[in-house]
Amino acid sequence: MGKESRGNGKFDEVLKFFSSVRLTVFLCIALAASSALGTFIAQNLSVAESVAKYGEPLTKLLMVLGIGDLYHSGWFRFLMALLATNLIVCSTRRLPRVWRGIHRTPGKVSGETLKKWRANKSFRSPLGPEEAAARASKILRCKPVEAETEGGGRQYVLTSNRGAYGRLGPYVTHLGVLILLFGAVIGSVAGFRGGVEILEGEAAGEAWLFRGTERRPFGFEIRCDNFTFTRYEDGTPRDYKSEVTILEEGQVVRKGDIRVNHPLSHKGINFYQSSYYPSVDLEVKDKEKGTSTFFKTHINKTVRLPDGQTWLRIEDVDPDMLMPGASMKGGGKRLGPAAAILLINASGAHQGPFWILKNYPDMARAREGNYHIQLIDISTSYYTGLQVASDPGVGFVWTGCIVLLVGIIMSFFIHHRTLVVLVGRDDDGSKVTAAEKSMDGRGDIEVEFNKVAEAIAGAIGPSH
Amino acid sequence: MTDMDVTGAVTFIYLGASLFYLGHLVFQSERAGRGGSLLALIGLLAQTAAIAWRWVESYKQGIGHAPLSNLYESLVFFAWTTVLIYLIVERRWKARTLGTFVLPIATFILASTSLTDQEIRPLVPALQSNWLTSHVITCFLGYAAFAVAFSTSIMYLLKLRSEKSDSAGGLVSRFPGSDTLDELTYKSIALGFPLLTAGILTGAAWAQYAWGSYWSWDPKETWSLIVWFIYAIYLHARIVAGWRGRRTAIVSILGFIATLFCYMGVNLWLSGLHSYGSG
Repeated sequence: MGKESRGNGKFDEVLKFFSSVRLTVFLCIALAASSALGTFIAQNLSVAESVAKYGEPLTKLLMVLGIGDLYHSGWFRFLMALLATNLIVCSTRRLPRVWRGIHRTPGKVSGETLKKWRANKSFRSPLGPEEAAARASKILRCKPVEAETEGGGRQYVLTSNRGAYGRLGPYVTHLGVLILLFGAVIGSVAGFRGGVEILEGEAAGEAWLFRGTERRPFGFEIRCDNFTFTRYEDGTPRDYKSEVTILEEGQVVRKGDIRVNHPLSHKGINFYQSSYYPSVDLEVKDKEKGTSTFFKTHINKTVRLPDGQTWLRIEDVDPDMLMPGASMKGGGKRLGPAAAILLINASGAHQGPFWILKNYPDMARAREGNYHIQLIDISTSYYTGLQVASDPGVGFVWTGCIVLLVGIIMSFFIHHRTLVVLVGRDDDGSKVTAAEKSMDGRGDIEVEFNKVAEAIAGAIGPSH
Repeated sequence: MTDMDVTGAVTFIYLGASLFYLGHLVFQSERAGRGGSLLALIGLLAQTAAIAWRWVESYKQGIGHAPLSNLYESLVFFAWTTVLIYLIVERRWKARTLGTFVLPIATFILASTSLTDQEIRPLVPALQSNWLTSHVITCFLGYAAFAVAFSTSIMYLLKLRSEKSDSAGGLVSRFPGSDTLDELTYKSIALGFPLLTAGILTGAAWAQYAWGSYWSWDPKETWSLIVWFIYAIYLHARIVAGWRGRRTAIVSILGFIATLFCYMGVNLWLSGLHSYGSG
């Protein structure tokens, strides 16, 4: 005994900790509870939104604990890493024993031991032992092995070891989970998700990202040639389709359609039909300078005004607004196209949202502040809203899913069991004992055993 | 008459079955028990016909799709899978007392459809996918198996209490033995877990085609993962750590509560990409 073995002892302890099922249970509880927390606390809010919803002190706490973006936080990823380590250590430690268990045979059997097995059946056969064994071997598809009995006679033993590899099920499942997690890590590190809105007739070369403020260039341009949407008779959306052209260095490379559930893929970047927006034409007059700027924009797009200090965003549009206060039924006056405008100044203060009307450009609110904002039109040309994503880890994730599913089927539906048939000489032929035992402690073997036993009895039993 | 009328009528058939099973338990009447099984089977067959009818009817209206696309259709399918899995379990293990617990669940599910919009509606673009059928079917078969496991766990806890207090007689004494109930719980979960796994994986595959992301930590996705974790805990605790008894029964019950939250609570109380599922 010395320092070296003590060192090994520590390492062994760590290994033991990581291979324990209690750790697995604890981690599953921790991950489940954390995941649940993330569904109750709004995720990915901006600081301003979070303060508005939860107040400042709670927002500070949420940010410190990383709960505002829980699923990507360090501690959540740490829990996942612990689970992955647990899986690896656990599986590598237990696998050798399971492997040996697969190749274990029932050992020496005799008529008496077989009759003690839960599922067993004995009968006589008018056939001689060699013949009986030969026929049974056809049914069981395994070769008879000759053995000596105590009395000096000969007997044949047929051993059918089935479903042994089912015992690897949990390990295949764990491997599948590890491959899947690996793919997820690759995706989160090397992939991206974002969106792009393209006006019909225009092209875009980059997307804004869901997480973060940079833009991600594609390396090519995608032009929306036409956007169509159709409705069912009752008004529900039926189909959205964008007809697009991919351009590289100005040259048309390919054309295609993007519809919901039918994405378009080019150079590892996938485009998904997500939404659409009618385009809104605005004229913004600077009251002091007397200059006008024209914008073509859409709902939720933030546009910077010429003074550099103010931002404008359309919160909502109405192609034909009803006079406020009028009822739906009583012929209320219709006011024409309207847009709800939100102005944000440099310090984040909001002005509005307030409605402006195309047909009434001189309304008071439209003229407040430094700008006179006019709605020129809500156009029939659309912006198509595409989600853009690239995930290099997807292949691993799908592989992991398939391996996981195979592992689960193996674990739950394939059971290791052994069926033994013993054929010995008897006065008028042979005596046969068949019995089946479960080798992994699971599986209802009786139903299956009865079928096989019937088949064998039918082939060599008393009726012959 | 429409498929909705037939399904509505089945609510009362399942209610009748529940009462017959109760009679079987209280009065130890074999005939009441057989009556319960018969009514449950009649209800299941009628539901099968109604679901098929609705499917065909949607094609006649020019908006053909499998009847799995909104809250009403999913509730109806959930009731169907629950009774189906229950009858399979009943046939295999001849435990009619289980019917007293499972059939009321099916009855309640169908009864709650009266609060939903029942019309056949066209599919919005996001639902127009072949993944819809496999994802919904595997999920609900899994939920049904968990509903059965929930019932056997409740029965197990009642039985355990009565066995401990040595009280002879009483309704609980007519339940199957606690070992059998524990075994039934395990087997139901062993059936439900692979189905739920397939359900989550088909959902992820569909999300990849529809939204470009197989996993977005959307509340519905997250809660299905939570349910998966809970049943994974059950299986590991039981098979590897050798837990038996009260602890695993409680995990099974928690799992079903989480399942219900995943199915209904998320749609009602949280928002996310799945909100059209409550349409």
